[in-house]
Amino acid sequence: MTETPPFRTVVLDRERIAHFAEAMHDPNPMHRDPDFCRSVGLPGPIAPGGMVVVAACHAAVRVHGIESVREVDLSMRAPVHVGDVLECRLTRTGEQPHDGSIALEVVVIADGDRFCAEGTIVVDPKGACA
Amino acid sequence: MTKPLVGTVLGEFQACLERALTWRVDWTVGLDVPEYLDPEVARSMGHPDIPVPPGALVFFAFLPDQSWLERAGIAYDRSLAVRRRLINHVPLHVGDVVTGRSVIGEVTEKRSGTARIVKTRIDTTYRLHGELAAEEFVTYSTRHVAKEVA
Repeated sequence: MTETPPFRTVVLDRERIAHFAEAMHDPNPMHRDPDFCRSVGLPGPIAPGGMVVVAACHAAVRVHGIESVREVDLSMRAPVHVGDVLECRLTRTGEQPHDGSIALEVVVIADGDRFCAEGTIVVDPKGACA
Repeated sequence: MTKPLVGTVLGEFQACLERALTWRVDWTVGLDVPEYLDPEVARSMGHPDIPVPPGALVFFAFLPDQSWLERAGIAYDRSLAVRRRLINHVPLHVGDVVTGRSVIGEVTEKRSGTARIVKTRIDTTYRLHGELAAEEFVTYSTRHVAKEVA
């Protein structure tokens, strides 16, 4: 069962990607240096994976509450490029009767049709983590 | 390049979770929950201050320098973070002072054509008042030509 609505980020432009990387003290030049990116075969800067994780978690937060995310496990499948909008789609896959936690499958799509990440999120609708 | 060894401590840290970091994360991704923006709204919802969004903590934001890259065998021209797993035990808020420790938790290798792919998992614990608050597991995949891995 797909949970609605999916969360869509703002447009991840160069400024936002650079700001996120700076906030995280992320030294990876792939997030800000176009020349470096071209040298490794990328068309330009890519978003830090942390942006994808934050966006995926937020999809669950909007549905289940701000302190509901107990666990997230996300595998990155493709880079997120400057100008992409991420759409995070959740599907409920199970529920644990003993503690009320809910298992969600998460898929992150960039720019409408590019599969970027997938994984699972476990939420506790009662909040306050584990 | 150094071959990463399981158990290597990459660093320890103590850090105050600052409002500026949380706001920048909110703005860059476009989070749309008012508790993330206004401390008064957050307090009115029962939080001591603005909650730190899940996923907003990354170990390298807190390590004192970048020497962990060499010790973990990671080079940005051939390494990618391919998996991130987080376990939250205690909600964290702006103003919390966390202590942390990052270690190499797992190293695996496999051959792919003429190259070897080394996957290095970096495990980080975050503690609040001595209590385990969060665990983070980040896996990097690094491509080597065969002669670089001893």
